[in-house]
Amino acid sequence: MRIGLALAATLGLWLTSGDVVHAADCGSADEISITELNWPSGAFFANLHQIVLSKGYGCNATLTPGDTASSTASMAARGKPDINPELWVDNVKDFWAKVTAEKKVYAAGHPVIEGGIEGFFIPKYVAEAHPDLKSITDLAKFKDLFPDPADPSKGVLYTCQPGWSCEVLIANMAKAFKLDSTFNLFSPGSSAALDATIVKAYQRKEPIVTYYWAPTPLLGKYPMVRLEMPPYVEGTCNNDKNCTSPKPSDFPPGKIVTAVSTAAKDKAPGPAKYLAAFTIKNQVVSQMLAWADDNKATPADTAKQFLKTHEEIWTKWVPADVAARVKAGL
Amino acid sequence: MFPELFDTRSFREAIDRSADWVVTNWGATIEAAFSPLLRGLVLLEQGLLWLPWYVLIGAVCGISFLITRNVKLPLGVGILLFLIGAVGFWDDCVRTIALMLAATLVSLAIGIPFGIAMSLSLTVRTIMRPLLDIMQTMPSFVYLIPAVMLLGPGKVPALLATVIYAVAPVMRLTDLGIRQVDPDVVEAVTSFGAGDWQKLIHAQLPLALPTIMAGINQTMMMALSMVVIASMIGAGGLGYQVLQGIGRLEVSRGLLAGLSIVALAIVFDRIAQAYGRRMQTSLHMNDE
Repeated sequence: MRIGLALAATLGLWLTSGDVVHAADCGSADEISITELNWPSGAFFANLHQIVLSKGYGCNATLTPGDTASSTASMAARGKPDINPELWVDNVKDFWAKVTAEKKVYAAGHPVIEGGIEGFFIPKYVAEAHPDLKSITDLAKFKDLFPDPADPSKGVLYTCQPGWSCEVLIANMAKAFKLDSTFNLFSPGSSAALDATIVKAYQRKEPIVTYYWAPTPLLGKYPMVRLEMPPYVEGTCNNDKNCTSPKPSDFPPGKIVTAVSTAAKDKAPGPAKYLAAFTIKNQVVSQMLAWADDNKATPADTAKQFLKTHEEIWTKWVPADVAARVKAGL
Repeated sequence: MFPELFDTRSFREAIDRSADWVVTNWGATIEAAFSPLLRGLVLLEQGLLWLPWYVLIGAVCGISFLITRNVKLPLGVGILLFLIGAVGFWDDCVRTIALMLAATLVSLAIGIPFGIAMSLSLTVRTIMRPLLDIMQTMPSFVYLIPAVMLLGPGKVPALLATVIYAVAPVMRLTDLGIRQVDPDVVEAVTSFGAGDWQKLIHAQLPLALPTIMAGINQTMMMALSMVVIASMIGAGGLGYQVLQGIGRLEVSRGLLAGLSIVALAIVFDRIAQAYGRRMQTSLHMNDE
């Protein structure tokens, strides 16, 4: 009986450990390239993947700097980089439909649990000074609070980057909420310039109303209030440039995926499981990014800090021996 | 590993803090000081946009005809501008022209006097040369983002960035042109009793004009090459179309907008060159 039990235990151990060794292997000695996106959360995710894949699975995982446009174009054309850690699918709709149909790229998982949050934000001090300004429909009454320096008769609503889908969406929303007669839409041209505009307002305690999104260090650092919006309506033409009858509706829930090349999934099944399990709460991401900002930490440092302080989150994504190797590698 | 000689982190923090201090305490004042410039730029842009397209194209063709007395240049210029409109970028093209013209004018207003000063004084030249090198090689985003924090996004920081980048050629070539004037001519003028001012206005500047015109031409071209960067801080125009094309992975939009910028560059380059040649010939006619 005892011997039988011991035998069974050994057998069981051998079986499971065999299984684990398989799942804990990289599976391929080829290079697995990860796009180190040029914004904070994207770079943070990329470095997390790089550490876990190289230290935990022993993959030859490398980082390639890039942005959404360059990395998706390269993924579609050459199948490289293998991993885009934070792809906002709606911003590259046509590309996404095409590559998923061709089975070149697939959505491995959702890096941010809640998805992306988009909206119109005002600084907390503006919300406190003007308790009547709560929702997007109140905004028209407050046009003089946010004068456009180039056209002081109207207010200015800072919008998103050229080419992002929010650009068309916001233009249609302005019509739907009848803001086009009281507000000018102004695109600062790049996310760096938009950030600088918000920081400028914050430092001088000036009023500002702007499109923004999460997870971002800016929202982790500067308290902003999202203007309330009516619920999201499915099936409007708000995201169409030629929409003639835009409807009042919230932003659609922002779909963010970890985009991975199908080739990499076939070569490296272990890491593919990890990428599928990888998901973090929006608030935790923003907190990590605010920590990075305050400590002037690099994305790699931020990833290490996360691995050190949030074991309860990431150890669920990987087998135990991979987790042990990641910890040993820190 | 390079040895850590001092605490770079606190050094950088000190820089950041002083930049924040300037933004917090002086930002509003500086922004107010620049608001007439913004109004001027808006006025120029709206004025040009208000003109019907055929009037604007006609005016540019007319100017180039007056310069060359030939139909070839006006015809080419007219076709290029028409093509920009035909691919749907007319308003953006006008916005870009407005910013480019304003930046060129400001660059000339700064560059020519400084260029003259450089040619006359070795001290000024020694100080200005490294400054110009910095202005031409420093990546623009380094000072653009602080400029946006100070002035807000839009035309004013875009104009400043363009001027910083584009002022160098006209300054350098004004300096060079004046110093290259034949010393015998200067000596002859002096021996006829001309003062420094007369010498400059009546001998050195006219003789240096072809070189200065080449500088003005280059300044214009460099101002045009900044349009994409200028759009990244909210200047709009053709650069914005390029950014949209990149953001949406629309190769066609990026390419057409890029080619429109090239077309604008050709138009203004050829007009400026023709003007330079004309001045040169009229100069030689005076000699005879």
